[in-house]
Amino acid sequence: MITCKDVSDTASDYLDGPTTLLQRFSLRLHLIMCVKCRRYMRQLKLASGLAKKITVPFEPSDEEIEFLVQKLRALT
Amino acid sequence: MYEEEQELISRLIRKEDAAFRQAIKQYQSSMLYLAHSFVGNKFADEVVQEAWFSAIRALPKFESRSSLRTWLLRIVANEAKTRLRKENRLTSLEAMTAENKSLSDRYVSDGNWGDKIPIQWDCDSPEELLSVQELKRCMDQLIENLPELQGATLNLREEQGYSLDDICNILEVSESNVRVLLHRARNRLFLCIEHFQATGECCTD
Repeated sequence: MITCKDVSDTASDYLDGPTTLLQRFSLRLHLIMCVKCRRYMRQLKLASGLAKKITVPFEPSDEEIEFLVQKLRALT
Repeated sequence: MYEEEQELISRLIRKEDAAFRQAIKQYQSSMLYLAHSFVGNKFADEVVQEAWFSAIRALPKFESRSSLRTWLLRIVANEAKTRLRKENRLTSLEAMTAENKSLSDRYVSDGNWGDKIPIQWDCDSPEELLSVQELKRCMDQLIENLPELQGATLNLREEQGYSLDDICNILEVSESNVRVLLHRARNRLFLCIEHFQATGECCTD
C-alpha cells in the first residue's frame, strides 16, 4: 500500500503519463480510499491546467522580423 | 514535413531573405517565450538574437537528429544559460530539484498527511481561478520568478505543450530531472494558489 507522501511524489508524473501499470493501479487504489490525496491530486491538476492557460503572446511584428532578417543577412 | 524542413534548411544555408523570414515567423515566438522564462523580459530579445546568429552559423553542421525547432530551442536555452552564468545567476540543478519543504513538512513520519491537509479550493477550473485578477497577477509573478530550469520546464511542457523527450533534448537534462523539475514547479503553483485561497493574498516566496 502506498502512502500519501508516495502519492505526492508520483502525482506530477501521473499528469504526464504514461506511468507503469503498477504505479497507476496503486495510485488509483489509494485515491479511492483517501479524500485528502484526492483533493491534493485534483488541485495539483488544476494548478497544471492553470499554467497551460497562462500564455503570453510573443508574435514578432513585421518590423521586428525585417530587422532580424537584415542582421542575419549581414552575418559572415 | 521532413522534406519541407530540409528545403528550408538548405535555403537558410544559402542565406535567402525569404527563408530567414519564414523561419523567424515559424520559430521566433516559441524561442522568445523560452528565453523569457530563463532571463525575463529585459534580456529575452538579446538572447534570441544571439541564438539566431549561432544557429545560422552552425546550420551547415546540423545533422537533423532532432527537428529544427527543437534544435533552435536548445540553442536558445544554451545562450540563456551562458548569459546567466556570466552574471552568476545560474541556479544549481540540486537547488532546483530539491524537495519543497513547505509541502514535504506537511506529511508525518508514517507518510500520511499531518494536521495541515490540503484545503478545499472554491474553484473547479483553471479559467475560474484565473478570472480573479489578483490571483492571475500573483501567478504571473510566481512563474516569472521560478528558478530558471523549473520555469523553462513548466513553460515548455504546460504553456507550449512539448513532450518530455523534446524537453530533455532542449534543456540537456535527463528525463528523471525533467519530471522532478516539473513536479517542483507545479507544487509551487499548487502551494501558492492554496495560500491565496486561504488568505486572499499572494504568496511571498
